[in-house]
Formats: sequence, structure tokens, C-alpha cells
Amino acid sequence: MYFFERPGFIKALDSLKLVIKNQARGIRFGESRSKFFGSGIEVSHLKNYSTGEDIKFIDWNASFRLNRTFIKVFSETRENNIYILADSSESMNFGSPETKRELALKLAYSISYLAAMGTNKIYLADFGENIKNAAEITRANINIKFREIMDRRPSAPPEKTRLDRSINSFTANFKRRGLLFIISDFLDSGLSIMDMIAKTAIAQNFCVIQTLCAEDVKISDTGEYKYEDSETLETVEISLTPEAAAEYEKRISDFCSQLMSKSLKYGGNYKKTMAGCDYMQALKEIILKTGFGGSG
Amino acid sequence: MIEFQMMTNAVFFGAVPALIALYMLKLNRRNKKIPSVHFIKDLISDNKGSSLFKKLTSNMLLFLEVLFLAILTLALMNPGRPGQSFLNKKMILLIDNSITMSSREADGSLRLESAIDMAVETIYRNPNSTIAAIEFSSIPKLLFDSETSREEAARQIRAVSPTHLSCDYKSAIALAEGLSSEGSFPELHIFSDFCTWNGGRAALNDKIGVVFHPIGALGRNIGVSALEISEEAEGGSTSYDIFLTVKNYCDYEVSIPCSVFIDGSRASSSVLTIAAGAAESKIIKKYGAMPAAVSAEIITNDILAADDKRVWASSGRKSFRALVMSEKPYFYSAALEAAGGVIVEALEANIPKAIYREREYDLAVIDDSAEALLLNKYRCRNFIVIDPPEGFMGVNYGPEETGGTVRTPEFPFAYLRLMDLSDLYVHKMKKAVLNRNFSNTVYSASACPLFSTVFNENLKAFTVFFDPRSSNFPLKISFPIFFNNVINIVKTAMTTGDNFVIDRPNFFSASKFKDFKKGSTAVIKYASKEMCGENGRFTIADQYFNAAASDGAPLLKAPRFYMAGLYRVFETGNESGAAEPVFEFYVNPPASRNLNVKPQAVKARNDNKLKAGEEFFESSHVSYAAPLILLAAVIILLDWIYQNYRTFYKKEAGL
Repeated sequence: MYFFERPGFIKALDSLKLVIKNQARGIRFGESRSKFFGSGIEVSHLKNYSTGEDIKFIDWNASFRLNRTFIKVFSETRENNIYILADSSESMNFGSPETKRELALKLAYSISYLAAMGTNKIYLADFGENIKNAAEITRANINIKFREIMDRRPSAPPEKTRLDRSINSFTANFKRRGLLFIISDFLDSGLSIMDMIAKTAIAQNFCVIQTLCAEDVKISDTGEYKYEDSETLETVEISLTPEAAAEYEKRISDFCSQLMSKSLKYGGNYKKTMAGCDYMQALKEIILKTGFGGSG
Repeated sequence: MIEFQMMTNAVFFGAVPALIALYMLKLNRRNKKIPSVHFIKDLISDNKGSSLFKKLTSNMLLFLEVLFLAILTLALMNPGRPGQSFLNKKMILLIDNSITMSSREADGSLRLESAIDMAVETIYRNPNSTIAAIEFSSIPKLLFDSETSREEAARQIRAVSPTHLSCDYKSAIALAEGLSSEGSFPELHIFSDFCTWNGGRAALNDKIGVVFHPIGALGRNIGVSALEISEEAEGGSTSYDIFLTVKNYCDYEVSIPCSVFIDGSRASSSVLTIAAGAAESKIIKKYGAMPAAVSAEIITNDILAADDKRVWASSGRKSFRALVMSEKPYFYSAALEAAGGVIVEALEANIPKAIYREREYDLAVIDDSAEALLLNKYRCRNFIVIDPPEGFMGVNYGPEETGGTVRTPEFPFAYLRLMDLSDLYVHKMKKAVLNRNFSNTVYSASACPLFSTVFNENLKAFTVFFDPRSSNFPLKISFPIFFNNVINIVKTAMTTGDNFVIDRPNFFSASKFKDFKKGSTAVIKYASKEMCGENGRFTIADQYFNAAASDGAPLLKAPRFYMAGLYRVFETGNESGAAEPVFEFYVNPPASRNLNVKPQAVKARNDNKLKAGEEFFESSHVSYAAPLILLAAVIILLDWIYQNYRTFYKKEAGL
């Protein structure tokens, strides 16, 4: 059974609503405010009446009060573009009982679901060394797409994370700007990837969701270890002392902090989630604390 | 200025990388797959670095062990500063290469090779002395004189080869004397098996110190002493007679296997039985051509084996007949048969005992309490009586005793001297009281006799006051020896071996002194005393021995002897001049089984009269090795403490 088929999962999502405050850049009519003026229901501003304009949009109250004829200009509401990139590299398969990948897919599904409730164009892709399965998500096909993603067998040899290449490849296909969600552990990418995310053409706004597991943040065992990288298969030998373990934890923590400050610096949002954590709480924080939406 | 004496030991530094490699291999790393090693690599590169020192400090145990190894190697290189010590001397090495030095020891080493090794070691131990070396057999030959190069001296010494000639110490020592010059302190080192040593014929001046380096198992002074080859023309053809003379310098007769090899192949193997007191036996082989190489092989181990059994061949009769009067004779029969050359007859159930009593035997073993009281009815006059009954030769019994410690008698009897009774546990025996008139306790336990001898005019009885089959007596070894020795004693009708060994209790047979005048004392003179100087360095003082103190005992306790060699016994008053000794005896060094080979070194120099000048001091090396070794020991102790602390820490921390 897929996680979205579990009883209560969709119901819990239904209690949330994704409200996107930024200007919509879509072509079709939607429900997000855009920078375009024209037909709509929300008055953007008034302007002097010019001959030939439809008199039904004249703001009579303002015209009488100021003894001039004003006509209402409406702002258009359009659909939003939402891009979701979920990391599917080998390093995401860690974590117990829930893996980072499971958490990432849950978040991706939830965001897609909530976005699809509105009039948004949603594009979902998972990435490893490159973009895979880039597809538009609609209310109708969301479950089918996620089943496809989840049913895909892991590749051999293990897939590495190439976020830079993946983003380049993605933006080559999708030109319109929108809201970009990137869900990954970012462990191999380093901080420089944040510059790239912020400057990418499609990122009108972005949200970095870092999914980590307990093994990422804490190495409690001391002793002689030969660590193998799950993606590159590179090995590192180390005599792990308590001091070294503490130093490692500090470095991971520092890295997360720097990731967050970089995100905020570029006007984006950052959320760190842990595999196995309270998923709904994390989702709420993403859509509330990050400033995109609120409870429905 | 630090100098290193043993630079070659620097090779031990090679063990350092080996140790590190072993440590690395020893590290039992656990494999673990993790999402990314990105941060761990950072951690290693930032914290550890790549320098060897950082790696070492991260592993304190390895660091301490490498430090220990380095300091130990440094100590082995013997660093130090030049100093002054030791007497500068001239060493004259005399290396015996006579035919006896061709003997192989039990461990397979050639005596001459051992002598050469010992000589080379000696010159390296005295790094600044001047060396002269002489090889000698019947003719001495100067190898070199006043050599200072150790390598050259060692090379020439190693070139010494064995000869087939006999040994003449006198001429060799005379040559050595000629090499010593006035004002120097020569030291004579003799490397020899001393098989034919007769100190009396070798005269040394009193300024020459002598260090004896005995080679081989001197306790068994037996070996090939001469090889002669003579041509014989007979009937127009020429053949060669090869005579090998084998001498026995032991004070007892031995039988030894001897093999002769001519031109590399075994020409004969025979067992030679040679009487005591420098008796000799010749092997004669005829050979068609002049042989290129003749050698004889006598293996010391075989001599020992022969000695332990003491197979006596001087008796007129070839065989020795023994009777076992026991219901269960098998054990006694087996022990008797182990002696070799013994015909054993055992009691059979359907033959009357009286028939056995009438038969002529050399020895009867009686393990029958009723039969033991009928000794006088036997034609045989020699008995071994096992567990004798009360009344046997005046024996009385008290309550039963069990266990007990073996008490060594004041006068150990020759026939039990070789028996090891240290593990003896006597299961059960009665407390016996012997008739003191004609009995002697040989070994006892808790005042109970274990072994005793009973001798009267007509019979000899060796009694065993317990049942050996129900005790833990080491039967397989000791009882056959006991039986064999009794057989030998019976054969030779003597109770003493007179087998003198240095630094051990020795005993004279009282019969040796039977011709002494009443009240006179014996003087024991070391026949080799001419070797000694006036300053007493080698003097073995004459020893006086009161033979009258024997008080009728068959054995007399002799003084201890500390020098191997020939001793002569004179009656007081007759010791000077050309008087003949009453008897002579030879004192052996300890047997090779427990031989702790030490040269019969010179006692401390009596240098009161001799004032050595500055010129006699040689430069030496004041070594720092000792404190370095101490430091190394401290480091290895720290290593041990750290290791234990770490284990404790791990346990406490639950890691």
C-alpha cells in the first residue's frame, strides 16, 4: 500500500490549504494574484476614464466624490507554476524506520496535492544524476505519477546526486517562473548549490527542504571504522574518538545553519526535516512558517 | 662525543615500519555504509593531517611502542663516550686441533668448531688486547703473533683444521711462553677437550695466567687418541694397516659404539669396551690403498648410555645368571633383562623351590617373605630381597608407616648413586629396625629404611623395604638401574665406584687405605700443580685426609675437589721426593647431563705485588646503553598501563 492510500492521509491533507502569495506567472486564469490587469474581481486601482471604455467599470462613488470620472482597473488572477524536485539518489535510502526518500516523497505528494487543489500548474521531477520523470501533476494523475515514481527500482550502480546538472536540465525544459521546491539531503552538494538555486531562471521563489536521518547527524559509536559512501562507493578509514564524533555533529549542524542563512539571504525558505519525525507538523511548518500559506 | 659501538644493530630500526604495518593490519575496522563521506573526509583532512607524527599521536599505544623500539635499538647500538678501563694484555690462544678434537658431541657439534667459535668470541670480548694464536697437536704451529685486527685474527683462527695427530700440551705451552715478553701481562687461553691433559708435563712460568676453555663433555674423557697408518707388503701386493687408538680416561670401564670411516664410507662399526685408567683399545683395519681420509665417530650420548648401564665385561664368564624367586616374577625379570647379558630364570609353580636353591646363580631376587629367611640354604651368595620379613638378618618391625620423605644418607652407595629418588612415594611399609652390626641404611624415609645393604662373610644382600609394585617408584627407569648396578657390584665384588666428580661429595673405598700405618694421614696432591704460579693463582693446596677416621665404615668421605685432573695420594711423610703414590685417581668435571660448562677459571688475581702502570690500561667505551634500556623499560611499562587504562575506560564508558 502506498502511503497516500493509507486511511486518513488524504483527510489530513484536506485540512490544509496552500496559499501562494507571490505573483502568479501562469498563462491561464487562476486564483493567484498576478501582475497583469484586466478581467478579474479584485480592484487593483482606479484610473481616469477614457472615452470608449466600458462604463460598467466606472467607480461611481469615487467619481462623484472627486468630481471626476474614474474607472476601476482589475488585477487578473492567474494560475501559479509550482516546480517540485525530489532527490532520489542512493543517499536518500537511509533512515529507519522511515527513509529520507519516503519522507521526501510524502512531502512532494502533499505539496503537489495541496497545490493541485488550487488552480496551479504543478511539475514534479525526481533527480539523481539527472532529471527523471518530469511530469505535470494534476488532481487526476497525481496518484498514478507517484505510483510510477515509487515503483521504480533502484538503479545499479548507485545513483549519485548531481543537483547542479539536474537543475540545468530542468530549466532547459521549463521556462516559466514559479515556485521551486527542492527536497534533498544536500549532503554532497555543499553551500554553493544555494547560489545556483537562487539564480536559476524558474525560481521566482524557492523553498529548500532538507531531509536528514539520524545517521546523518550523529555518529555515536567510537572505534575503528571504514566508511563507505553510498553513492560514490568511496571509502574512508578513521579512528573515531568521542571528540571526532562530536566534531562531526557540530559540522553537520553548522552546515544546516549555513544552508538556512543562504536560503534566507536569497529570499527563499528553508526547512529541515528528519526522517521519522512528525510528518504533518513538518508539512504545516513548510506551508506556514515558510510563509506561503495557512490552514484551510 | 658520542660513539656507537654496534652500528650493525641499527638494522633493528627496520622493525619500526614493520610494527606500524602490523598495527595497521591489526586494526579491526568495521565496515559501515553511510549516505555520504563528505563531512568525514573534511574531518580527517582538518583534524588529522597526513603527517606520520599526527598518525602516531592519534594512536598512543603505537606511538609508545615505536618509541620503545627506537630507544631499544639505540641502546643496542651501544652509544657511549670513550673512556679508559681494562687491563691491556696480550692474549695467547692455544687451539687444540689434535685427533680428539674431531669428536662430535651429542648435539652434533664438532669439538674443534666449538673451540674455534669460543676463541673468536674471546677475542671479540677483549677488543683492545693484542692477540697471538697457536694451533697445536703433536707439533705446535704459530698462526700469528701480536695481531690487533679482530677480523684478521678471526679469519686465521677459522682456518684451523683438524689433524689426526696426538696432542702435546707441553710443546704448545713452551711456544706460548716464548711469545710472552717481559713487562706484559700475557694471558694464555687453552681451547681443548683436555682428553690427554697431564698438567704435570706442562710447565708454565708463574707470570702467565691461564684460562682453560674445556670443549665438549669432559665428564666422558674418551676418544680417539691416535691414528697410525702403516704400509705392509705381503706376497707382492701392498696393503695399508690403519690403527685407531681409542683411550678411556674415565675412572671406570665403559662400552661405546665406535664407527670408522675410510674415504667417506663406513668401514666398520663396533662396540669397544675399554677398561678404566687410560686404558686403550685399538681398531685395526686393512685397506688396499693409501686412504685419503680416515675418521672415527664416537657419539657421547652412546657413552652415557653405556655408562648408565655399567655393562661390565671383565668378568670371566660371558653371561650373568639371575634367579627371581617371586610368585609374580615378571616385573623383576623385565628389570633384570634390561641390563643386557643377563640370563633370568624365574620361579615356576610346579618345580620345588629347593631345586632353585641348589642351582648356581650369580644373583637371586627374592620377593617371598618365607623364602627370605632361608638365604643360607642357597648356593647363590648375592641377593636382592624385596620387602624382607621380620627376623631377616635381625630386622625388627614397628608400626606401619606410610608416605615420607626420602632422606639422603651420609654415605651414598655407589649402586644407588645414579638413582633419582626425588619422586619416590612409598605406598606402605613397616617401620624397620636394622641389626646395626652388619646392616647399613642406604636411603631412608621418616627413619624407616628404604634400601639397605647386609653384608657378612658369606653373603651380600641388597634389601628393599617396600613393595615397588604398589608404590609410585619410577619403575621403568630407576629399578633397572638399581638392578644393573647391583649386578655390576656383584660382578666386581666392590661397593664403591670411585667415580670422582668436581664439586660433589666423593667417597673413597676404605680398602684403599688398608696398607696405611695406624694413625698416619693421607696427603692428596693435585698432580697438575706445576701449572700454578707462586702467587697462588692456580695452586691447589695439598689436602690431608685422615683415613683412620673411617671407623670401620666401607666408604670414607673424601674432600671436595674443585679442579678436574689427576690427583695422587701419598702417605704422610712420603709425599716428597720420588715416592710412589699409594694410588691415583682422576677427578672429572660434571657429566654432560648436568654440565654447566665454565672454564676452570683462574681465581682472582693476586696483584698485590704487581703494580700496573698507565700503559696497561686500554681505551674503552663508557656505555649509555644501560640507562637507555631502563628508559625503554619505563616506556613499555607506560604502554602497558595505558593499554589497561584504555580497556578500563572502555568498560566503564560502556563503549
